[in-house]
Amino acid sequence: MEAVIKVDKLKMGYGDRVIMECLDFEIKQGEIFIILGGSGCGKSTLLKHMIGLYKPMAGDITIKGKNIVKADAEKKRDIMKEFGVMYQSGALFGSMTLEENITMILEEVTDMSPQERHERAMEKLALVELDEFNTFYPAEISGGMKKRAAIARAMALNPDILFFDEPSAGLDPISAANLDALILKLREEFKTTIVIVTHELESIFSIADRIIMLDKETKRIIEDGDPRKLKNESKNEWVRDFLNRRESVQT
Amino acid sequence: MKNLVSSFGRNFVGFFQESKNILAFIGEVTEELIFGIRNPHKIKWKSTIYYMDGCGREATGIVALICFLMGLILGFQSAVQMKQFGTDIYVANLVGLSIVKELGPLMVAMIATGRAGSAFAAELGTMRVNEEIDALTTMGFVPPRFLIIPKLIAMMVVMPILTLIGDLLGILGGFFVGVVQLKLPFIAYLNQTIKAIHYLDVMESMAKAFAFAIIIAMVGCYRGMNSSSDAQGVGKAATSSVVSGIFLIIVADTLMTIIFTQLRG
Repeated sequence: MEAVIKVDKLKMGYGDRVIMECLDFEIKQGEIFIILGGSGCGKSTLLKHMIGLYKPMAGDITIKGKNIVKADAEKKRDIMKEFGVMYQSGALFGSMTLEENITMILEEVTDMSPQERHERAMEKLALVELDEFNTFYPAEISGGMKKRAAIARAMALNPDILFFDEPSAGLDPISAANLDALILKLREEFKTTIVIVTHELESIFSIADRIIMLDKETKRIIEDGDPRKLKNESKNEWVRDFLNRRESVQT
Repeated sequence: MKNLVSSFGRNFVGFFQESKNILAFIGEVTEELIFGIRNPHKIKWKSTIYYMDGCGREATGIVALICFLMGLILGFQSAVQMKQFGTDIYVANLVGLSIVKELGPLMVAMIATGRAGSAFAAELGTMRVNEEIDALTTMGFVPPRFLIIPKLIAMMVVMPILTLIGDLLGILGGFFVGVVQLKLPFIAYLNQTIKAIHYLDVMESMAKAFAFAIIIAMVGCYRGMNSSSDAQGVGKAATSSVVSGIFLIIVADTLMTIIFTQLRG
């Protein structure tokens, strides 16, 4: 299958401090791809580079053939329309209802009429089973519902790619499992390519097609493959320990 | 000694880095303001009205009260001195001119910095913590167009109006002292005030209010947009927006007072 995201010799960091370097990988269309690693290794930072929020120290990131690193502000905004992002906190706008959180994007970047915008918003809210809550404000719904509403907003422009930053963080096991089911449904129904940063092993084994493992010490990718195979077959002891939830010598 | 030199060096580099960031921010906001003037339908008018209400209507009471009391204090203080020389009527000149040319715009700006400037910084800082600014960026929005321009326009509209209200209430405070304490005839005090205040003085007051509005909105938004992504960062952004806002207002007031005095000979 065709690669929709290419990360080429990426080097990233803050100021002069390098966090990760020599990152090379491709993500295929329809793949559920998980970025994994210990705390503070730079998983979320890598995601923020991939969605164009941070500028890398070196290297390129290509989304559907368009280089987001070299793009100017206008082109970058065009590339950003190709994907949706669900942030860890949900990042819903508190002064707007769930429906308004979705229609505001449509109003800004499309020529849709108010009726069409309403219909699209309701369609996306129905997808995450929140259509009855369209007039609710984010403060009036639960954490799990906020995450689902954030997914609905990320889907507003029907993107082919979705990025998730720690989707299950702060959720109870049932809500987390429901969210995993929703992610699988999005892939099945829309063939969406999904990139996730997470720590949740249960989620990883139930939804991931492929993972990459980042290592803080070597500042590189130390493993790349199917998590079910890597769990027992990885040549790296720390990866096996991590995926088997065992205490390791390396922390 | 080595530490002192390296600390000086770090602060020096930091100062230039901060200056570069401020200039980039001013450039970006100016560009978006020009874009807004050319494409008025792209301005978020609903947000603009919301901020006009919050920064204008809701501040009217406190502005009126403080400016009235300021006029009253000024009237009392000057009445004591003026009475000794039998020049009571000139309380009207002193209060009127001081309020219109200086204290009116300055007091309103101080109140607006404490209310609006810190609110802008806290709002944008919280949005940064909640990743809402990142979300806006990846959804294809231009954050300054969406978040800063409505606040800037709202302040540019309401500050001159608030200042006019403050000027009138300040004069009324002095009027109260003149008529009640000094027993000056109502009409004499009114005529003396009208004679003392030239329309150019009112224009000066409005020009200062307009300039202060830009400073308050820009400082509050800059601090908020650049706050660190934690609760402490939001607190610091709100505090520094007030401190640096007041400092810049005083600097701008000094410069404008010199310029207007020179221009009017």
